[in-house]
Amino acid sequence: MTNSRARSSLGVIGILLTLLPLSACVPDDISPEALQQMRELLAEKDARTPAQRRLGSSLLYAMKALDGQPTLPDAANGVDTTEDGALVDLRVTSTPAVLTAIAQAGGMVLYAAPGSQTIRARVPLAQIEALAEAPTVLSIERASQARVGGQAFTSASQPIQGSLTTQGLISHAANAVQSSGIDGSGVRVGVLSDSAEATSFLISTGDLPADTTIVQDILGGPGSSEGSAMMEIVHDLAPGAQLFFASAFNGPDSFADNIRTLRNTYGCDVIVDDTEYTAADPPFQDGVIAQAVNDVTASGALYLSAIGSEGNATSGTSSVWEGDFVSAGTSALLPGYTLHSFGAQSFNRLLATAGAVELFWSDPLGASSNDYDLFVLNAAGTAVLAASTNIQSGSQDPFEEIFSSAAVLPANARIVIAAKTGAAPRALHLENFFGERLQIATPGRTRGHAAASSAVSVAAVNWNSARTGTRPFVGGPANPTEIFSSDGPRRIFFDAAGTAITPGDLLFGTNGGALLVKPDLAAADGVTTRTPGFSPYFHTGAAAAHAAGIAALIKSAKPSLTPQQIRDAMTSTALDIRDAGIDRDSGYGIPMAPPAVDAALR
Amino acid sequence: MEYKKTSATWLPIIFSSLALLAGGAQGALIFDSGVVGFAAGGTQFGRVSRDGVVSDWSGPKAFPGVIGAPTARGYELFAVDVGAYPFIQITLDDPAVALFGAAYLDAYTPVNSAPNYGLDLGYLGDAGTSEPFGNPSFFQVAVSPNSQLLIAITELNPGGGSGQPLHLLVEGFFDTAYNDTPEPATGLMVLSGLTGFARAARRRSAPPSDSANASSTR
Repeated sequence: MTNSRARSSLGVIGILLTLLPLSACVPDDISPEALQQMRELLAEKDARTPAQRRLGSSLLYAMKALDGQPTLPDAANGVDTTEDGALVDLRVTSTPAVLTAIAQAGGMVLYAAPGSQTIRARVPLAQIEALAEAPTVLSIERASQARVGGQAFTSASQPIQGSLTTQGLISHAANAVQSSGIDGSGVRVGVLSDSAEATSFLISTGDLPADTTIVQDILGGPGSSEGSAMMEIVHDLAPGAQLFFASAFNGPDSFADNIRTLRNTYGCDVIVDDTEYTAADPPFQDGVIAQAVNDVTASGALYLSAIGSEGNATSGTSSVWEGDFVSAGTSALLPGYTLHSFGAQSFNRLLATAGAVELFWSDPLGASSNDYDLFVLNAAGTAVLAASTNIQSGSQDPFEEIFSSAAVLPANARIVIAAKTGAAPRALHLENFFGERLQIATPGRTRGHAAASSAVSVAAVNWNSARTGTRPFVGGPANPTEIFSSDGPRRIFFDAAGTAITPGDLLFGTNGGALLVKPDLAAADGVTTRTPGFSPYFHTGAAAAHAAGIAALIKSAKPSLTPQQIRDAMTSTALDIRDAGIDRDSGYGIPMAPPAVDAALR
Repeated sequence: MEYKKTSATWLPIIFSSLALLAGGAQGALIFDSGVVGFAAGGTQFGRVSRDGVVSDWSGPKAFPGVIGAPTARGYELFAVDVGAYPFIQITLDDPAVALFGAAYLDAYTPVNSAPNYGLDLGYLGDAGTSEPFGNPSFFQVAVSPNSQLLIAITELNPGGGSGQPLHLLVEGFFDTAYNDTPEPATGLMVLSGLTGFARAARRRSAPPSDSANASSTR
């Protein structure tokens, strides 16, 4: 906003303040043109048919584009469409009936979780609205997107000259534990990531043991083989442990089922993953994946998860804004809706080109009756580039998502949140899914199953952060967390069943809900592996794998330990880093194998 | 030519149950430049391209090519005698992201002659990138015991490296698990190397022959 325009706007606001109640002042930082476009989009939303109300707005916009109707610039909105149809997640009341309907619509079921009421399928875009008319269909959404955090560097691996080893073996002093004869023997470790296609190659080089088991790899890959890299790290720290891999990339329900399969069928004592989903990993309540984590933890497995690699407030790299909804006022140009105020302005900004913007709020899953919407405007605030206008009328998730099919939400674009009249103020979580920075940012990026109370979430510390070479971590300021490592803490407002923890208090500002220490630990990354594309292997997936290797050593040293006892051994002996004591960047700090095993044996 | 020589650290580790409370085996730090300012001792033409491929102990890295030739850039050489250690890890901390390092065996002979301007001769490896996420870059090379490494630190941009801080570490190991004590089989291989300590030196200026090579072709 120019100074002259700012002065002019202040004058207008002054006049309006004399005419209107304070809560009805007009936001002056969104142009009338953009407000008019938002109004048209919201008018279309309010006019949707019963079947259309069951569809995610991203699917509706993609269908309109298919029909040649005017719509948003990025109408595909991240909908993954092939000749087999659009990739969608369905929520249903009766699975068999919908499976038949999908087939009749020319679709293809990819995953129908046993006993669950969710289906992942490909359905021709033109048939989706008709499918939504089936009374057994509750909702159809663009498929929840998964991501792993690994940074793709390329290793020079060519001839086979023996195995490579993570520097984290020394960083965590796990070699000292191995030298005492404790090597993970008798322990089963399950790894979940996108894929593990490099496993046979790594077995041939001696970087993975011959009995490594692939329970289920990625469907319709290829993936990046980050799971192979994670297993390499676990194997380097705990070479006696038996390894199992299952993909986390075949949909949220498949991910949850694979977590349970690793525990219940393969008997894994330690399970670790590095995957985050969009809608299926909500911040304020345990979703389907977190509930699987809770289950396997209750049955005796220690579950570790990468905290995420989407930045943190301490390093000035945060990609999240959390806070309570505050009205920025209403406008005659946007009747029936109120914009959210981010403080001095009614918008946030992308500081880099982004691929996905997501909004969650503190309503229970599948039962949101407070209708919020999300818009991305151009940098000048004069045109709507993308929108997410799902309807929340009591049976939907509290979630809006703008997923750019071309990952081209431009730098400096404005993010605007609107609440429908009557929507109660709620705690909001706004983020860039892929970690691009926000102009107005806060701590608290981690969410979903990685932030579940039963999970041990792991931040990343470069193995050579002390700049002393291959030496054990020493703690303190010498070993800060990585600038990209996601931060906590995590406030939750509901239990897994959707019951409010603090009924009637669902805001940050009033300390509603419960606050969880996240991350729990921090471990090494930036290390050498033999997996093509993961040398050096940066990001928190590598860190979680190191922590899992240490957990395997502890379990091997004393098999009778419970998950909580293993967790206590790691946290109580961790090297303190970042802020003194428990902090939002590293939790309890860096687990070191010798004192953790020693504590477990005492 | 000025050398600053240091002796390698040799820390025999006694493994016992008490090792649980100790750090255990790690590598030998055979050279530590400390934080020093980059001081060009010679001139080369172009520099090794940062191709994103890190060299490691799995095998030799193909020479990544030259970028920016024939524009002259300053380089500084560090000569390191690896002693008994066949597995070498080189770490370069270059917080200004103004420099790039590559390792060579026995000699570094830049010339003003396409296509590789001499930068491929004796080439062993490099990190492929600079200061990933603000961390020191590192790479690994495997050599015969008692080899002499020459680590060439080059300006990324002509004239852009002068006085910029750098911190170079060279570590030696007996195996790819970062041990500083030889396994029995490895011990036979490196037995001769154990008769003396590894030595390292920092060469603050290029040898005359290198300089001649570099300047005679301008």
